[in-house]
Amino acid sequence: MAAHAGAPASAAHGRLDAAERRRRVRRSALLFAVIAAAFYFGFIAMMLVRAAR
Amino acid sequence: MAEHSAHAAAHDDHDHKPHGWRRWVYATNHKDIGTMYLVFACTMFFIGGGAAMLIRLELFKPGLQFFDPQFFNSLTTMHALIMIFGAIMPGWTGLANWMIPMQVGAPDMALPRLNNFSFWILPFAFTLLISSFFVPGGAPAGGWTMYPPLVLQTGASFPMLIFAVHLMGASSILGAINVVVTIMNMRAPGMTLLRMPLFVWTWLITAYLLIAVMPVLAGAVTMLLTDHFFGTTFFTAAGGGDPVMFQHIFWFFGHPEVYILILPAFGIVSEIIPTFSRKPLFGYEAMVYAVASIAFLSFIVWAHHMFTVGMPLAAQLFFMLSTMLIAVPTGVKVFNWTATMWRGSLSFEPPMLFALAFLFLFTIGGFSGLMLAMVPADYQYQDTYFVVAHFHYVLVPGAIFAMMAGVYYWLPKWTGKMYDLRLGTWHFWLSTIFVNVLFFPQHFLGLAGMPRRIPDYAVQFTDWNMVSSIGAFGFGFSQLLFPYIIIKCIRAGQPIGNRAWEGAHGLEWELPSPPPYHSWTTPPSDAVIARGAAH
Repeated sequence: MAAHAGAPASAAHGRLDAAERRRRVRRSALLFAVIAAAFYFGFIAMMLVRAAR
Repeated sequence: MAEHSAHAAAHDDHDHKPHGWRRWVYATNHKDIGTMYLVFACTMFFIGGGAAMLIRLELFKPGLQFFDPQFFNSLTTMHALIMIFGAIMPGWTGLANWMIPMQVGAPDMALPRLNNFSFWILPFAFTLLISSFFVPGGAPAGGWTMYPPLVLQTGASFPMLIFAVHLMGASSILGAINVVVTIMNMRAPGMTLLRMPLFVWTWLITAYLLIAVMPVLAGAVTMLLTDHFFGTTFFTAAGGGDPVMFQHIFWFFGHPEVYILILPAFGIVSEIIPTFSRKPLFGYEAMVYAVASIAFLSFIVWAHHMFTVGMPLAAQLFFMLSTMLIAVPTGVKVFNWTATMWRGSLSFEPPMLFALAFLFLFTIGGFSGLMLAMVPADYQYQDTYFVVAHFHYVLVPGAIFAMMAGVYYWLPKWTGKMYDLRLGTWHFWLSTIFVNVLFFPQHFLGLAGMPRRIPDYAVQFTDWNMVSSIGAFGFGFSQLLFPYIIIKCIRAGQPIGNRAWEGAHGLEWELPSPPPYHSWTTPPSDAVIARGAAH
């Protein structure tokens, strides 16, 4: 299971072992955080580029 | 059943839930966090509803009765911000927290600490926002759309508004990441994507929308902040900026936001109608593709909110036709819900009643949306009460009714007790009658030319405004039944079994009622999943 504070870890949960699941959870969470940040800074950058023209 | 016993035994070993205030402040359990989200949303619903009733009180008669125009505009602005970001969005997140792990066969959300953080941002954000009523210049009054240059004239509450919007956005993005990561990584083996309940599907797509558009809103308000305090001129025409560009950016966020507010409602109605029709959902896969299509189209229709701003003919045609295209997948959904009921063995408990009201009344909102999509007609309707009637039909008997349907559907599962069905039916009829008394006359007012966001109006609009205000008071006061029914259920409801409703399918109904503190510590077997996924 993932970086879990409350629920009991169960390696039996799913076909993946706990460590692999934790890695996947972290990787996909980071990926989506990067996408969100890209939208945030991307729109501001787009406005800056537009203003510079 | 043997599986349940094994599950319960396993659960007992781990059920070390914290007690007292620590249980809530340090909560990492998806059900506790879901409960906090729902209580928060309900509180905001009544605060935002209070603002709405003050608005309708002022509009009961022409002339200024109680408030000065600045305060009236603050009420409309805060009503929208509180209802959208404080009531509906956290309400959906609360339902997602409660139901998604149970429905996909997971023990909890994938990132429980992040879940706690996402929730606890919200009380700070809304305390900040609501306290802006008490600073010099009053609360923000430029509309929830925050258009410059008007919003840049806001007084001391401007930075509070901007910071609060950033906090709400951060909370939504973190919550959405948690939902996507949970659904993609925590499903039980055998819970394939096309076995997932529609509520999970709609929330997955909603979460993608949130991740894509909330940062855009945050970027736009950051630029407003720098325009106001740091001398930039992103949206200030005097410095070479473009205020219309703000509208484009805002509505690039704002239109998908409409679907963020309504897609989970589609999911809930798709759960409830089959249950109370005692039939599988008609066209499950078509429903999934329809939701995905609606989400995709929501990104390419934003400028229909700003036809009167002025844009090239080709752009007007594109945004008009792409908007009308949304009617196709929406029509597929309405057809499938109707076909699900066709020759079903229907019963009309409160969740089904609210779902049926959703079906009829949301469709009315959809039809008026089609009218607004037509450019020449929109030139007439823009900024009138017709628009107010349209989006309130989508959001009140649409999103809010579906949320109430969801609570009435899953409340017996959450509490292990059945609520007072008779009172729930009363709540339904009072809500449905008064919501129509409240909003239907606003179509007439808009078509007659009454502008929105004004505290006073010409005497010709008096009659329908009085009717609308009476509807508002009736609707507002009848909502007090909702928390009463829930509290009564928790305190004195009749105990029920695992499957509260005869026709209910889905993994959540395989768990005991109330469910164990950690939902599926042992993944459900393929047979249990197959039984649950009987769509």
